Amino acid sequence: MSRIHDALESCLADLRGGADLEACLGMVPDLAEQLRPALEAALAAMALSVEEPPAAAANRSRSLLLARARSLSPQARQRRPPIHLPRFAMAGLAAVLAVFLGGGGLLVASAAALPGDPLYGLKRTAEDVRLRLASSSARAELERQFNDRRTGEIQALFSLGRVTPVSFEGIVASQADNLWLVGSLPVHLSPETELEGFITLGRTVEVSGLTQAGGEIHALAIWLRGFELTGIVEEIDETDWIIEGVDVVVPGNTPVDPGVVPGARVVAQLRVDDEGDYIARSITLLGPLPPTATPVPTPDGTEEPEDEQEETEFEGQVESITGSVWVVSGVQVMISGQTRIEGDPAIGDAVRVEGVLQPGGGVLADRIRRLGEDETPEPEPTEVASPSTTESPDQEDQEEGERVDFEGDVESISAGLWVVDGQAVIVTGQTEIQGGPEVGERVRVRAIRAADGNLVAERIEAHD
Amino acid sequence: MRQEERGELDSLRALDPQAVSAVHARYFPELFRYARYRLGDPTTAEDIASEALVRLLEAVAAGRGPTSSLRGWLLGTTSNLIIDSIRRRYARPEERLSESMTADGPTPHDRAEGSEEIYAVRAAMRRLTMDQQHVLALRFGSGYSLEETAAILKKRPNAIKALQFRALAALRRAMEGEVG
Repeated sequence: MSRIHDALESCLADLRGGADLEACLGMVPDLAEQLRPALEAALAAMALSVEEPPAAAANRSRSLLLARARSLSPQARQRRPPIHLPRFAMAGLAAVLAVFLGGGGLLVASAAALPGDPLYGLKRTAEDVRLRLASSSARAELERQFNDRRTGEIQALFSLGRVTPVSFEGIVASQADNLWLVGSLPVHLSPETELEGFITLGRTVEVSGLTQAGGEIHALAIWLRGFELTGIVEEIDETDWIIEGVDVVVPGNTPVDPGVVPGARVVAQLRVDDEGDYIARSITLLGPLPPTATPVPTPDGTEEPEDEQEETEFEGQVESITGSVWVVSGVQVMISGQTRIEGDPAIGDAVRVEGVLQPGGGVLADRIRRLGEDETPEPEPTEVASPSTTESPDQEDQEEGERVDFEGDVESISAGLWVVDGQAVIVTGQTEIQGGPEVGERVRVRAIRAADGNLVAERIEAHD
Repeated sequence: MRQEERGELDSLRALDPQAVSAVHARYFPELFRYARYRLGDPTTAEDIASEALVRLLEAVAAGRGPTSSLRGWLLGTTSNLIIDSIRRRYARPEERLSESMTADGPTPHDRAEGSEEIYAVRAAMRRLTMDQQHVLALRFGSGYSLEETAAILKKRPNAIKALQFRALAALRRAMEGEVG
């Protein structure tokens, strides 16, 4: 079997070098029949173009990462609460204070300025200062106020018939052809309008464009401003939450589902403010709350009482998979982005779960591994193991020469190679085939694992 | 772990902005391409690639993080985030209408190319096991060599060859299903 794998690898190299499929197959005529489907699929897989990330995406991502680095630095942790002054450089602060102290009259005069007016820059600077000086929770409310102010300014520009560069943030309320409604403002899209992100109804976007005399904004660019974070609520300290390891500010007016407590799995709609902080727009409970006081079985069959943040591991059968919540032998297991899932377990499979007991019950999984046949926690009730209890050929702990029994549905039959429940099984002249099984039928397979990890069938019999 | 990666982790641990930017510049494009290949949707790919780097930063700052391969850790985390994203999408059917293009239909990029074939291949790809999708994305999306892929997945090259063969065979069957 390894020969066909080698031939495939060699053909892939040739195809990448511009060789023709038929020419590749011609090099290995005895394997051509088996190789052709794989190579045709490889050509399709190669055709999926993957371009470099747009520069704007890389910039946004880098900004987020740098903001996170700043928030993690010891200096930032010391400086932030309760005084929020040192969020920006002292030189910048001095300049801003000079504006405040020396330019009070100008500030008052700038309050009514519209985009394009000489004092408008000062107005925005003053707003920026207010945002920087505000507490995290107050900042969200200020941002909302300033966004409303942007809308008012743009409507004033409409009434004056001015063509002026503007930018504002809002929720996409409608997307009819080339005319969108963002917040309460009509936005006209042209072929030149730059769209960043997959923008759908209800998403928060930032629009940059030009006001038009007809009461529309001609959009130059529209990009997403909000995103979604799914994870476990790890900590709630008034407005400062930690969700899945991420610091999130949850202002008092943020809609939060009842029952969201530490340990709950939630979806948070977030926006990134100009400081790089994540501000929650809403917190939605995802799935049922973990059961309380659920005893977690240990490998020796005993039960341990619940203990906060206690690490645990156990083995059991996957009973259900609902989104990120699994049930393994009656225990609710929550999956996070950090959970390592090995062996592609499915419902009915025996697995080993390693994780941390949650305060409300259940386990936050660090790792879920599908068990091999020899690891099955309980002795098999029948002589034939389910496919899930069989090691897949690509698992690392496979042993050459071991016997593997499993049952599954025949997915394909070709010369010398069957696929049963996703597993390739080599059929040789010595393989005993009973009952004339066909594609789609259930079979029992007895096989020997070869040195290269492949399964060589000794017997395949139709399952009654 | 390679000396270069160890150096990157050391500098990352210091949370130095230049070091953070350098790590970002080195790995973000790789992670984006990988996620983009798996998901099709560039916005989600951007979010996931960014999130993987944020998690690296948080893990390293907390004294945890990669011990054997920085690239392997990042791609593994990205893969987990993709799986989480897919599970979340399917667990929230009420979002299917708005998300349908990224979940089940052509992405805007696909439509821009006017290629229903690309859509069909992506749809077929989603029917593979996560391991199979992982190895195809590494080999064909990210362009890693057999040896690099083996190092990332902590498997032997022969095991990767076998997995790749099965993945391509499964993809071919799934493509037939999409067309049929």
